[in-house]
Amino acid sequence: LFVTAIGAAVGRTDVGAMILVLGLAAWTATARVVRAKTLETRGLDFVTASRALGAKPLRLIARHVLPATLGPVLVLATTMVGQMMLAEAVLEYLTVGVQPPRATWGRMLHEAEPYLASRLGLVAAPGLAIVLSVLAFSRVGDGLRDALEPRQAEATRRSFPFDVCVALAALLFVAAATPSAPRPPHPNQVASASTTGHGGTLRVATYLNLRSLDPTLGYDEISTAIDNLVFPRLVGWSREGKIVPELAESVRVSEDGTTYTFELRPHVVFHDGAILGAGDVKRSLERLLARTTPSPGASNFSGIKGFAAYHAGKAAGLEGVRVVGERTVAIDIDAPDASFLARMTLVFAAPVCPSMGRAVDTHSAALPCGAGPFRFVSWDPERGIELARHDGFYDPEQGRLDRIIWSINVRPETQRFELEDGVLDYARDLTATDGATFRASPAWREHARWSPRLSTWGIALNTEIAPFDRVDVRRAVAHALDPSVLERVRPDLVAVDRILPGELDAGNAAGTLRRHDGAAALEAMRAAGLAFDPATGRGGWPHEIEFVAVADSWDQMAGEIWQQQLARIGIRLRLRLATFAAVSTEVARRREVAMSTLGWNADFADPSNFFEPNLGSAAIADEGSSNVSFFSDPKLDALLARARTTLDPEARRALYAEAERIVADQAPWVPTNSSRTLEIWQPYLKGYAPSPLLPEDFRGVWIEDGTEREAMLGALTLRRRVRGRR
Amino acid sequence: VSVGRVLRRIAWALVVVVGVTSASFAIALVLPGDPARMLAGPQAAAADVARIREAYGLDLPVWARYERYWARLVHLGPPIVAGAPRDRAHASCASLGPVHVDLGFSATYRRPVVDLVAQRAPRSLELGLAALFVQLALGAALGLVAAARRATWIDDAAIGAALVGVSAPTFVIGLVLQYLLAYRLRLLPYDGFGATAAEHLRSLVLPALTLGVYGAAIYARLVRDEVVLAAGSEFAQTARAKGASNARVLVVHALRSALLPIATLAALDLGALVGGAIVVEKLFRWPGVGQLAVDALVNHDGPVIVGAVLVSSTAMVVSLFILDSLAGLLDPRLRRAANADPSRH
Repeated sequence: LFVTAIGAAVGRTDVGAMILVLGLAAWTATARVVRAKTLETRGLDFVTASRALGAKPLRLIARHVLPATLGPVLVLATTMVGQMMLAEAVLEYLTVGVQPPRATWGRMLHEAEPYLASRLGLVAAPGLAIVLSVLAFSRVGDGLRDALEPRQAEATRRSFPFDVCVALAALLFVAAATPSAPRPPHPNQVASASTTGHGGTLRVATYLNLRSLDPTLGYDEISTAIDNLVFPRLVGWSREGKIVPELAESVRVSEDGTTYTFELRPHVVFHDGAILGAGDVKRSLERLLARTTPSPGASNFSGIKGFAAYHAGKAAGLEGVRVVGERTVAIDIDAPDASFLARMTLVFAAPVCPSMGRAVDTHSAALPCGAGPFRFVSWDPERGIELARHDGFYDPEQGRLDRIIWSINVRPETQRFELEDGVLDYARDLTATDGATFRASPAWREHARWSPRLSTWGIALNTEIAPFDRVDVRRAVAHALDPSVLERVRPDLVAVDRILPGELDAGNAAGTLRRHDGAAALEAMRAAGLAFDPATGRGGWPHEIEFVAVADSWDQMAGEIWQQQLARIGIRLRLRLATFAAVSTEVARRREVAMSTLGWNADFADPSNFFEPNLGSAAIADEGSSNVSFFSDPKLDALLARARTTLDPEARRALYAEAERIVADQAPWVPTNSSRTLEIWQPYLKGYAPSPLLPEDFRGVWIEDGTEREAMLGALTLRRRVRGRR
Repeated sequence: VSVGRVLRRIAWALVVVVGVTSASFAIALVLPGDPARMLAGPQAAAADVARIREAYGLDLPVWARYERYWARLVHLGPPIVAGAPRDRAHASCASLGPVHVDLGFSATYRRPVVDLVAQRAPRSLELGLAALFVQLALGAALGLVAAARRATWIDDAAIGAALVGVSAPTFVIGLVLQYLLAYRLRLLPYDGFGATAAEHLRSLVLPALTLGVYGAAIYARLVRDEVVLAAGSEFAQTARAKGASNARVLVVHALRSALLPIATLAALDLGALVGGAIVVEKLFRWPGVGQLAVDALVNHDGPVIVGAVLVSSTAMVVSLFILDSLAGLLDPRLRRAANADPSRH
């Protein structure tokens, strides 16, 4: 493990370093075996005799001890050869391994793993190569030993290679075990068409690892989805993408747009029994922005009056949040901000129970407590979370299930099996292969849905590094990329030509913003003085450009495609793979990375959230910059500032359409695709409707025949137990 | 075995553990990437990342952190009562009476590292022992069969099968076993750790079997070669002359002489397995040290990396120590040699 850690520090390297890492990991076994054998031999009579005859220690070792150790060492060596080849496949999990384009069998195995279910050949080919070479090494070892140690030379030689036959048989066996179509879902006991119901235990799983449930700290997909059920905010999203009151009954905006007054709903009961009042809203926001709270989302609220002083610990309270009445709270902001209400829908802004204190205790892992339709019952970091209905919730329509059991860290392959067994009621993490088999199955098709996500992916071109400091080269890249290839490779990707996802853009910037056009790309290269002739391959940018990508991710796959497409206009990429941690730090450092993938998931459904952090010059920093193109354009900055303070929705949309055109023209960020998720659920899971704004929204969902389902699950476990015993 | 020798060995073991821990401390620091960014999430603003760095003490100079680590590793403090609110200064300690052990605090798990490690190390030990058992049983069986039918097709097939096992990556073996035993035949749970003792044992089968199939080859070959060698020796011939059956000669007399190299390898394997079977633990959701260490490496959770390395190096040292103590027992010839010539040891 220690050596593995060294390897992880080294990261992607050349072959020499890999040999060193693997060798360091394995030499101890040989050393111990040699030592044991030496001790054993030393006591033998012929060694004693030799010593008695006056042989020197070195001669003793060379003459008597070394030959004796040869056998076990050869055995070790011949089997270790295979293990070392495989070790690389394993180390790749930590992104330790050789850099592409160099290929090794270990890397081939590792990269084939996600396709185990559909393309076994990808595993079988390197696997067979390794088996054969291991067998070969083993025979060489045998021969060597026979030659060096005549004592036990074997009389007969095999005429027929049975070991090779065994290897081939094993491969055939693996190949024959290709997974079948999914079993049909468990039939509905009662074919009722009822539109309401309640009760049941919902079982869901995620492959992600949950780190924090506290709404002020959680900033990943899974904690947000779970927190949505536990922590309602003052305002939330409707399915149609409108901001609607949630814990607030009504919201009033002052004439000048700098004061928001929230009238709270009466009788909202927290999970610990306290009643929600205006003071709780103020306390919760102060808890989020307190000096000692390490919240990743605090700066979303920097517009609140008095933020700077309070956040720095210089003021006792947050000046801008005023308790006006028992159930009335007013929030003052420094300047009109059209995105303020959208920011208040973030889970960071959720009111939390009085028992959670005035600041976040980083050393406590106590279960958080909110006011939502579900409350936390337990959190086992190795298994998952259990939620139960909060009976005091004001709207019984939103909390129908009795319990939700959310398993974490479950592999997508296992989720598929459990979905078929009826152990899981809903899945969204299935591998592309499994997803395809489910979509092909008539019984499941009705219960599978692609839901779009509010995300945009593309390539960030660092405008401070040559050649992307020239706008013509950036335009050439934008024309040369053809994202429609992605759709053919992965069913969950959708090619786009603009930054804003359809839900936010509302078809405003009409027409195609960016067209894949090879001729235009070559023309732009000529304009940049880097004319390239595709026929001869001459010209273009003379140097290789490093494209940094996260290993084993979408990044790597996309990088390989862009590499081919850009080669056609004379821009040659060299792929460098690294860990997610390394990539995210490097791209955010000034003048470090020329080109990388940039993906953005909407924090809140507002256009400003796509433009300001990624393209505004205020988001540039020397270290940890979120504007990874380091793109600074006064015209765009002015436009974004105006859009932020423009409250009229129509005028605002026009401003963002203009911003979209500037980005398409300047091309600091070339948007290529957005993604969608395949959601599959059991027929007895009722009332579920996927929504891009509210992923995994299980409010209002119920399980039909909940008690019978539980009995069935019990029988399934029992059957396994009985069969296991037999 | 003299007391002095034991003490000397323990001192050496301590040096090894301290050295490895310091080195892993250095590794945790040079890992490319920013731990605060990993805590904050990829879309957090630069100002929020800086705030997080400060809150978790990631902005302290290296030496301060290193010094603090050793100063706090073992120290005195008031006994900690489970469930009672903790003193802020001893928030990440585990206590044994007044003696505190502090491996630092994990920012990702928001729990003391010593708790994480104490919870997971026994599970890795359990998996390690079970896997080793399967490896030894399978390896010895195949090896003995091969030795008994030496230089026939059975020999070839047995060793060939073992080598195929070692040539298939654990994730392929694991997935195939999971598919067959859990999905098709419904004999075993897919993964996890089980809530009750019976469930727990059943969950153990798949990961142990996967590791066992993978690791058996080396033992099979070792057993075969050593047994073949010993079967031709004089003491085996003597045994045969006295009327012992062929099976008895192989198992009782010949296998016995192969015990030492096998035990040596087994001790090393056990040490490595307790340090974490990375892929298998991940595959079967077995909450052991390996999974912990991988996640820590991915998340840049420095204290957990150091803690996991500390555990695995300790496991290695301990299992080798046990091996050395047992060596004499396994091979009487060694005992005689050590007694006859203690100065050369």
